[in-house]
Amino acid sequence: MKSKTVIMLIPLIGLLVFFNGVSRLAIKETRKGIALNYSLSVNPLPPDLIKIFAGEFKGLAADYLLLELGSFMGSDQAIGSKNWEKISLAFDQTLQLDPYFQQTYIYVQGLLAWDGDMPEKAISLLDISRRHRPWDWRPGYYMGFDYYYFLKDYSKASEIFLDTAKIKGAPVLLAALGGRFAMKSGRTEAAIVLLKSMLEDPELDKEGEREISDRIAALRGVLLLENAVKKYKSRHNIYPPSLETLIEQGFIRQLPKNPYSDRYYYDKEAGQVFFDEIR
Amino acid sequence: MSKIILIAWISFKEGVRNKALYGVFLLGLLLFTANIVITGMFSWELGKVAVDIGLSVVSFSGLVIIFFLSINAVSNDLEGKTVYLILSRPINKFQYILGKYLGLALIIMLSSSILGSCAALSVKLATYGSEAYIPLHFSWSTFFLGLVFLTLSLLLVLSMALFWVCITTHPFTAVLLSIVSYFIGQNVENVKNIITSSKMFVDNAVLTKVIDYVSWIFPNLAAFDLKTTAAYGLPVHTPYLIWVAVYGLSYIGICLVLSVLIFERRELA
Repeated sequence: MKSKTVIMLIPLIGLLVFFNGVSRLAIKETRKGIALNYSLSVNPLPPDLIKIFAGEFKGLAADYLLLELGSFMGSDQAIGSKNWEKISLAFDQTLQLDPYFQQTYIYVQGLLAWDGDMPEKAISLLDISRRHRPWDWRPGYYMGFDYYYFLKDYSKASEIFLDTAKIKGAPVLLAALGGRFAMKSGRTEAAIVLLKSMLEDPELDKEGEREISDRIAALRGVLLLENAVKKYKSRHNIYPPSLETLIEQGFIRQLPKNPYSDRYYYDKEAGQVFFDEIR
Repeated sequence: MSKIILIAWISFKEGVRNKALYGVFLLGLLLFTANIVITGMFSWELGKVAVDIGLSVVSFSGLVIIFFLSINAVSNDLEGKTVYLILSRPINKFQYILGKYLGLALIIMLSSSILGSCAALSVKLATYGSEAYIPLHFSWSTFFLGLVFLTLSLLLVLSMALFWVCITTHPFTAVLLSIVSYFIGQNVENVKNIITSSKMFVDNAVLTKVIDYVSWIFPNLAAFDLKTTAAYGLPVHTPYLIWVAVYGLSYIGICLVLSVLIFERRELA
């Protein structure tokens, strides 16, 4: 190349670089607003079909969808019900693509159950994670919590908590919670059986063994008293005015020991017995 | 046998000399760097994301090599009449096909080894200092098992691609048919599951039959995909892996035999 041509090309390159820089800045300025109008683009394809398009890159596609969701949620804008539907579909698709990913179920619990007020949907998605991660107690814990806290379904909550408590490494608290909700939903007997089976776990430490034994003793006391209350009601057609009445009338010899308190708590309107003050 | 090895060696050297191959490696290396950045955007099970990206890059690069380099290498021989020079020597058509396949397979294995090592390195770097966020059961042995089966699936796709080149000789058509076969192979099992489990298709006997035949004709490439298994260190059953390996090798064998049969009948003059 002749030196004359090179001399001519240098200012041309300089000019092009200048225009490129200016246009880049202009584009950047215009696109600033895009973040504010940022909308979640979720493919409306049914979750089953999304796998077909992702092929062998389904893990990668799941990661991308989660990033998209995270970026949308991070934009801090108000989310309408239509967008919550989209978010729910995106989670569904993500779980179809990769049902194992921990980040997905943590997002599902944090976003759908709490912010999106969609606990039923959250539970159904958490169940996918729970089934695919048999070594992980957290999806079951979140499901149990949602049943208890959002849906007030104590029976399902106890079932899930007690089932999840059997997972290796799960906190003993889950068993205790399972027992409590079983009592609230009238499944005390089933809870005792399950807790007793957990006591046979050779890996259970002393502290865990003590917690479970205490909960079994408390539930047994509740069961004994509730059965006596039922007998009293069938005879007198009303609930007894106090637990002591059961002793006076010979339904029980004495009040069972409560490991958590010096007595049992009794709701005479509903005929329900509790081992502590929490209802 | 020595002639097959000779052709394989020549094809391998030709392929390695191809500058486009370096482009593929460069792309791979760039994506591995991106792996470290992308993984940092996640908060849980970073190792899973790193393995996902790492193995996907190996697979993607392998597919690019098959669809754009390997098919071209054979088609150029056929279209550019180079094949006459080879076949005018005491070399049979079947030796040419098998040699060509082996040479190209060596390139795929070389690519998988280099990019697989880079993938392992990128996983190590991406999760450095975040060991607590690596999936509980992750193990390097499962990771490398995933890499081996990924390579086997690429070798299978390569044999299909060679089969299509032998039928069409035209590179574009061969690429198109190979991509379609790959796509069907990846999804045939999934589509079959959807059709058999969906109430919408339950009465459609023709569709069920068609998908059943298709699943016998096209390879089930999803069976070789152990990326999720590798990412989470999920349990693998040895008999299953043996059956998948036998399935893959026998399918490659079928494709090669068919390619030889078609090529033998082809009039090159």
